Amino acid sequence: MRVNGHKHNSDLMLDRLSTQELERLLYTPEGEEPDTELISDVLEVIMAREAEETDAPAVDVDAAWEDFKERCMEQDEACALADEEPQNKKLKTGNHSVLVLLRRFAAAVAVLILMCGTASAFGLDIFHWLASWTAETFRFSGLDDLPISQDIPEEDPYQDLRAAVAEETDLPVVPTRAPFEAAEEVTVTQRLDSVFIHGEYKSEDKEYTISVIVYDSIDLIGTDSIFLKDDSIIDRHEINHIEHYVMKNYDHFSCVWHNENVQVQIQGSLTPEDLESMIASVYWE
Amino acid sequence: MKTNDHYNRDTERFEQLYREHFPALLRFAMARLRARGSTGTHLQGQAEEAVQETFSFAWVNRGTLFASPAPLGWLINVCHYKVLELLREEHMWSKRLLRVSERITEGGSDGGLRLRAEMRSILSEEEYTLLKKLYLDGYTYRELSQEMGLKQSALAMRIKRLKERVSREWKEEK
Repeated sequence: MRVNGHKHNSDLMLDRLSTQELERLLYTPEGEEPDTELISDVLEVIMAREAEETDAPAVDVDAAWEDFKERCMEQDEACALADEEPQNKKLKTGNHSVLVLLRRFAAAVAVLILMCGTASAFGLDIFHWLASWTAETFRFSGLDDLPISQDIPEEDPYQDLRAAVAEETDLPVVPTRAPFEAAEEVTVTQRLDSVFIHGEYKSEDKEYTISVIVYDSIDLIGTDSIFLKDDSIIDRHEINHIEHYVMKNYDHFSCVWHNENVQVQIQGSLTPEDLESMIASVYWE
Repeated sequence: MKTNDHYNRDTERFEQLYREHFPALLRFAMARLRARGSTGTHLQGQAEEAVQETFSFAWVNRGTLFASPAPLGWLINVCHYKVLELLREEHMWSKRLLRVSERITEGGSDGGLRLRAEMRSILSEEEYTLLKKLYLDGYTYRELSQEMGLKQSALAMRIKRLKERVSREWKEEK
């Protein structure tokens, strides 16, 4: 039984339901967001009811808090990310140095620029570095269990991009869903050890880009990448066993991932929901 | 060790929210896990794990939590996904470990020996036993840390690194 709207629990007559019936209200159907207000009301009734029952098991919050402090607050690596506001960090990898510059402008714009040395200096570590910014991985429930089945629509919003990418790789990297109707313009640049395919999508008032870099070798992934973000946490989504990183740069959102030797970045006037939908459409219709 | 006032204020405020909402979140996680088939002491352990992960995420994103007009609602939302994540993780690792233990008990078949050799090139006996206890035998982090004489934080980090290594090196059979 699902109840909609913002109602006090007495109006919902939750008190008249059995605990088992109340627990059923805590269930959220697959793919839907939980109704947190309803769940809060239901939990309030359940907790009050169980507090009156003398045989209800006590929750040792003190012990739980001590466990939590031990596990989380002593983990400097995890917690320091939220605490620190680095002005400058210097990371050394082998004989090469990578300078990470984070500057705050008067308008509170933070720009993160990664300048990488040769392939052996950084490579795939850039994605591991991104991972160090993430809080946790939220996975799309159920999608990983589905076989890849992308169905290209008749009116493909990425026709030119798809054709250009198909010349270089048969890995699934181009979405089928577009957040809004836009004019497509694609450029292809041959580089020494990669092919850079850049698609621009512009409508009257919004635009975004999809950049696909096909490297000669997976070792070259991330070696010439620039990621712009503010100081917010990066969201990490695992889809099709590939980690996709969604980051924010104030008004703009972007997503970056790599599939073997192909790196993809989508950025522009997009919401996180737009990005999630586009990413999913890379693999499934 | 952090000593600045801002951090201390955050810690106090966070502890207040933790103590206020832990019981409700635990109850929520137990109900969700029970609906997915978990039972007994394993249910309690799983629920505690999910709630601790929820608060772990909340601590890292405490700015957002503190700014939320409905902190419990915010935490419920996170806990919902943490439960799903925990179940998916357990399912994946249970499948992997079950496959390995079944093959190993088969004895002298080529497949069993190959899998045993492959597994041992990635995991030591002790490491395999650790994962087996967690995902097949229903041990909680608290129980394992007590048995091994480790802090929970150390155990959690060890398991995290172990799983990352296995995920990188393990070749899934199709």
